[in-house]
Amino acid sequence: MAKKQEAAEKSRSQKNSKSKIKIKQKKNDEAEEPEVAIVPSSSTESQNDVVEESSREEENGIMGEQMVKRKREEMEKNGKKEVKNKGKRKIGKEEEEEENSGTTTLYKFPMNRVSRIIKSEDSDLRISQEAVFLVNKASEKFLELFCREAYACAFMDSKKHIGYNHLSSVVSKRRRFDFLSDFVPEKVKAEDALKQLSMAE
Amino acid sequence: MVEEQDKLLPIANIGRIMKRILPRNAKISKEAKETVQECVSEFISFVTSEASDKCHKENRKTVNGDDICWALSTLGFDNFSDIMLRYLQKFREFERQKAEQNKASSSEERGEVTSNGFGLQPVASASLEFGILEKGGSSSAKQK
Repeated sequence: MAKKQEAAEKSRSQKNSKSKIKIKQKKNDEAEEPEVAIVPSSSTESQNDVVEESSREEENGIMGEQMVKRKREEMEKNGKKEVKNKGKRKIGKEEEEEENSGTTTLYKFPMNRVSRIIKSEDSDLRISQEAVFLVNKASEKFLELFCREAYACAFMDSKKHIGYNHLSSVVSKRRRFDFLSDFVPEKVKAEDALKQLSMAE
Repeated sequence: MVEEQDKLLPIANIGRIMKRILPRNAKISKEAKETVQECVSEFISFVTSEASDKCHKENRKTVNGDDICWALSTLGFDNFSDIMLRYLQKFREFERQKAEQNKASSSEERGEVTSNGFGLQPVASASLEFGILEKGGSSSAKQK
């Protein structure tokens, strides 16, 4: 199964002759998040890669290492010319990202960002490395759960696009999402809200 | 404005995970993605504060992995806590191997990726960026 995956990846990379390697960055990602970096150009490809990555992560840590090797080879071949970036990245940073991409098999979000969010809650809080890792992983699982529920909601609505209203109905209907009720309120029409206010007075 | 974004996880990662979960034809509106981004940060705060409350009650200073697992099951995410125990074991294994690799290869040049770690190079500067207190004060993870 491992060999199949490798072969599939190789043939995909050969097909994709342009082989653009984009460093997808949005403005809020600026100087950090090396793990976000190296993805092949098409979104389908990146999906497949990520799916394979995650299944590998579950089963066998060795595969992640081989993926890293292959990506490094690809990058060397492409001469790093076609790296698109919005920011000020130089080749030195790319190498840094390459290095760090080896650790992405275990968790998906940047550790320093997670720890910063934790610290913003309570700056005196002391937390172990393991705990930050678990929070990172748990957030990923939470995201998956929330996403699935939201999609189920959209599905019931005969829609394929997940909108805000689907998220808000998940939050209002499921008890375990109660903690989000202040963050994802149901949208109401202004006139209804004003009516309610005037009735309350 | 930068500070606000610092309290959220990168939207690219969020989007990628969502795409992985959802069927191919599904799409997510930008507003929904941003909302999800805020919800995940809120989840982090929620779990962390529960775990830290427990530590305070028990007169402990440092929140550890078990506290997080406990918080998850208390808050209604009990299926998570089983999975987390498994990941915790993997993580500890990973850390141990990294420490061994660093010892073994401190004099070697970098280049080869060895053994059955989680794809980590045996380079002292390669790191999981932990900007926080490490339990036990291990020197294996270095900050950049």
